[in-house]
Amino acid sequence: MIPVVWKSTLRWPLRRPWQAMLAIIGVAMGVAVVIAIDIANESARRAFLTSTQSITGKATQQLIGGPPGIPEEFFVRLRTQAGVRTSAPLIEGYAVTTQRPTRTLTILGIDPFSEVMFRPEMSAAGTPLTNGMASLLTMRDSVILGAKTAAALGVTPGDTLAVRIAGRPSQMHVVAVLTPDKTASAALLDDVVLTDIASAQEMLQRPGFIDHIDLLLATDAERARVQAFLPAGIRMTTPTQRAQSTTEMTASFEINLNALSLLAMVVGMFLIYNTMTFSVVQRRQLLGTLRCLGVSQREVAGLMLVEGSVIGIIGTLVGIGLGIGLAQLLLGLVARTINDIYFVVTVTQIQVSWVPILKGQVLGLVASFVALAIPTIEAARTPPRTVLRRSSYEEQMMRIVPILALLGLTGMVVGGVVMWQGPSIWFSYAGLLFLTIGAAMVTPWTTVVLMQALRPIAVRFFGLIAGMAVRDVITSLSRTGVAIAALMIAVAVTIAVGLMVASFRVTVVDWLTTTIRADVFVSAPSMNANRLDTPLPSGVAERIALLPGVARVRRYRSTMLPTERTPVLQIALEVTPADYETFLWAEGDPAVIWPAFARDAIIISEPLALKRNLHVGDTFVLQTTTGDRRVPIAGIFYDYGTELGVVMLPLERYASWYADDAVTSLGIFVRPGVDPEQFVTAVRDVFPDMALMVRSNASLRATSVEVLDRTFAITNVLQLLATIVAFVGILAALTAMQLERMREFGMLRALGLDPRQLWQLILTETSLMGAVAGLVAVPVGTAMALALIYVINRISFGWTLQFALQPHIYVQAGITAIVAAVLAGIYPAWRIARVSPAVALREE
Amino acid sequence: MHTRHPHTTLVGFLGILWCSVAVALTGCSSAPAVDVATGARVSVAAGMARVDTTGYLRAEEVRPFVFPRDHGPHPDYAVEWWYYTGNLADASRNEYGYQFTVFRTGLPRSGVPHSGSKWRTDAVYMAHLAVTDVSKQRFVAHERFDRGALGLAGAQAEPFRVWLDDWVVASPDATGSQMHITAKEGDITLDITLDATGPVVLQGDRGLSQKSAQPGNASYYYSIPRMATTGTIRLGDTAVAVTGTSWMDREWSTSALGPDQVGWDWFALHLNDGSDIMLYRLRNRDGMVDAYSGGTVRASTGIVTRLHANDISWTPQGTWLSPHTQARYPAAWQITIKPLSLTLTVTPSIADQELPVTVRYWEGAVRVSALQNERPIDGNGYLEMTGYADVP
Repeated sequence: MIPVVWKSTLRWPLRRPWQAMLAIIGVAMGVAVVIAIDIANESARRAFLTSTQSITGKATQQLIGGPPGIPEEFFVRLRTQAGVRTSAPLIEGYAVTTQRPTRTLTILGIDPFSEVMFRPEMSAAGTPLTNGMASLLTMRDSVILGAKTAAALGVTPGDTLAVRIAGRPSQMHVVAVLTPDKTASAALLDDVVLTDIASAQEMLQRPGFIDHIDLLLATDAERARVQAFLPAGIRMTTPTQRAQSTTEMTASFEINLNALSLLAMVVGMFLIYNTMTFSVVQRRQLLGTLRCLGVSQREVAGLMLVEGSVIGIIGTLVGIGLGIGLAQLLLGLVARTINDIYFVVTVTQIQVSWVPILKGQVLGLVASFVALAIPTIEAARTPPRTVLRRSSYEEQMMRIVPILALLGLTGMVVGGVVMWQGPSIWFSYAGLLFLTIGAAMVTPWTTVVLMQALRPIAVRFFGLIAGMAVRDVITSLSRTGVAIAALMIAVAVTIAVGLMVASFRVTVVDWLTTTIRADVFVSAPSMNANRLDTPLPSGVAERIALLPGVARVRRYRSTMLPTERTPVLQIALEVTPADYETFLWAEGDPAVIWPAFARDAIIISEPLALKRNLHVGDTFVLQTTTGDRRVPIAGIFYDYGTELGVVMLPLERYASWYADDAVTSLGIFVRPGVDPEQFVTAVRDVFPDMALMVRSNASLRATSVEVLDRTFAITNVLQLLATIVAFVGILAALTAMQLERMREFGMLRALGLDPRQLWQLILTETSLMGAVAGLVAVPVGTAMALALIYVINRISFGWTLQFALQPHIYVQAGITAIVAAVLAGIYPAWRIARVSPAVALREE
Repeated sequence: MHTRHPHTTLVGFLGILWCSVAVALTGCSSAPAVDVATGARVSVAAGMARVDTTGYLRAEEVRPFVFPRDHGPHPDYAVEWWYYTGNLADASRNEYGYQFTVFRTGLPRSGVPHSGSKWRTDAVYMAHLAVTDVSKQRFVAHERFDRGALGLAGAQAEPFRVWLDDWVVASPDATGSQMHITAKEGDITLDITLDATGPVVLQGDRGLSQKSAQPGNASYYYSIPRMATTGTIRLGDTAVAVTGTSWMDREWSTSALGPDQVGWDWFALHLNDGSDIMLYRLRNRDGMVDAYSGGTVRASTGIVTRLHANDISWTPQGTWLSPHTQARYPAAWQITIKPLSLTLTVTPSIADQELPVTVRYWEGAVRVSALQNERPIDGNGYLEMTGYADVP
């Protein structure tokens, strides 16, 4: 008995391979997107940690200084006076190769004499000693590369490597190539350029300073002794603390990507559900027969579960493969965003570990089983007789629809409450998920209502066939409902993401218009697109101020400020009453803020205030070169430049607190009548040899928006993937549905419907489904957008965005829905129309 | 001549090349955990021929020595060292020995000399610190490298000061006749004051120590053989007050070890009759004593006798097998200085005084029993034996 039962069910998917295939694709794509995002995120993080590790080596502690670094004399005192021998100075920097494709190399300026205690893995037993190696100390710009990096760059000892450092063209002379004996150590040398600390100071133009001092302190007593020796402005930290606080910067970014990737999974779940429900409906007759023959409910449920699991497992396995491939594609986007917004990370290769794969696998299987639950119960409950036809199932379906809608509404309400009241970002996402699924559950009911309303109109204005199409949508609701819901979700996501990005853009463009007022901006090139923390060569500000046509030069000094949590951007600037209107206040009264700012206070950005729950009147600790200072907060301004948070203080106060008079950028106001673009050229002509970035107001704004768009590139990719999953779903559902109705269509043909009319019928039906999906997606998508903008964005990034209602997004979404549905109807229509009525009727 | 010229090449230049230049590659740390011996063997053979001394002067003719100026550095020469060894005793007559040595090595000067960084330098410093506790049979040694830049390591004449981080030898005043050594690492500390009790002895021909027949293959070499020493020495937890006698050796040059020379033995001995003896024995690959070996004896009367290879007969007594490197060193020495009818028996105070540093060598406190015209004289001093751990 049992073997026959198994055979009978096994034959089913084998006879309809495309149907099983589409379910597999659904699972695979969902799993792939989740895994890909995970792997891409983790690869970027691990690349960063590896580079940190190669930088920190065995150090137990690290000394870090103020913005310009630690004065090198301090290291000498540490060695000669405090006698801290287990210490090594280090300078970090970046170079970009000029050969294509460009690679970002981390310059590690080391003191070879101090190194062995810290980075023995960079040692190369067996590397022949040559006089060339002595050049590392005596020769300018001489470097040592790891064997892998050297091979990738195609250089050998004796070669010269052309690079750009902070925009300046420069050369590196390769004097040796290291081949560490352990592969783990080799990874530490990936994209690392080792050079003597003297060369590093020269290359990076940082005479007099080092970035940090590594320490190897075994006992608390030693740590206390070093601590006591530290002057104000030099602090002791641990390498793990430092790396952690840096990687934590991307936490929000990663969570949001993960959440978006889960969305693809949810859409995938609908697909599985759809396929399985469909196969149950199709097989009711068979299942009924089996039940008549004595197969128990439990056995039928088992059959369904096995079939579903096979699809789930195959889909998951395919998804893993796809995910790894997709991760490689997404890695570039993830890395670019991290580089644009957070910190420099050089990563070109994905690192596949078990965790994301396992996670994807579990998720894929769980999703498959959840999606299987209802169809399985449905199959098991098939009564043991053969007479129950599909029509009776549809009737049953019609009874369920209102209940489903009620459940859905409840889900939406619960989702909304959880989202608003939830204590963390995950609750907000869970709320969003509830909202989405709830909306999906309401969709069949909405479809019925809409179709019933539409039917008389359709019949009167578009004739019989239109009326038939409308009715068919209702009568096949068991299959159309899920397909419409899946498409609806995809379209709603498109609307939501579209509205969010649009709101973001509108807000940022407004903000840029308000805050970017100077006509021309001058800065030194830096590795981060939106952070300008490379000091300008001295004298640049003074020379520019003397140029004809200059009305005023506003100076800025940007630095990354370490705090007890993640680092924040600190901007020291000159503020005159003319600049007051360039600030938009989230909290505080300008009449009070500015006097306080001039006196002793700072102002902070909204994301910083929201993330650390700070308000006007609170204090903020600045770790300055002259010691920690508790400073009052005078105002909180809107800022969309960085989610890390911004602290602003007057330039003069910065200079005295941090003992640093460097300037990182200039805002130049030109006299009336002077053309900013011509002035840009004039400035470039004055400093032909310097790698200065000179940009007009318009081009700076354009660049800022460009960076913003780049940030959303990955969001758009994920949204597209979700749409593709949904499209596959609707294609699967429609194809199955139409092909199943082959006999019915044959009958219609026999009754005189010509192929053109058949086309018309099928395409009307599918476009109606698309239209319903699009229509429902409008309120749902808008609700999701509001959730993204006002809840999720605010919690994750701390931004207040203006909601920008852009009609074209809805129009686009509606068109997408209908086009997707029509496209999905073409294949079945083509197949059915080709078949002669006689053949169609002979089916079964 | 070049008592330790080979030494220079070996320890100084190669050690530095080895460590600093190859990014402290196989481990030139003071931690003896690395297979330094193997590295050393490779480096001695490989590095010797590559010494690039372009841009440095050579010791070609006799020059006047002026003090304290010449206590300071001579950066025009590629190699230079300040060498302090001494035999000390505490109130309970427990014996101690110490060695404190600073080497300066000039890197090839073919690179770009001027720079935007104060870290840029062509001078690399290396130092060895060793303490012997005879009664407890303990010997501890450490090694340091540093660049001669920014004040991390360096040397100056007036006031005299030579240092690597917090290892310092310095004069409290401009005369340079008193010197103070402070050095601490791990569980040893040296904190001693040295007072010259006799004049400077110019070695070789008025301070020009010829190495081979070729002019310029020589060094400038002087010693202060007898320096009264007081201070404290710590080995482990307890610091003890000590007194005794130290020997200072100074040498600078720009030349390398001959291709046939594989090592040398150097003696700096104080006899209780007040005489000071410096002897060096260069060993050639064929096992013969090199003709440029020699030495100096300064009698208590102040009369200095220069010795040539023919004046001395050397007889190694037995062998000591190093448990660290498996090298075999002479266990003791019998030496006859023919012109003075002086026979010396030199025995290490403890057998194992092999330094666990980049290039291994044996250097340690010794006891001397001498016989001159059948009159016994006791003494002590320092012995250095190199090249034993290198020879294949």
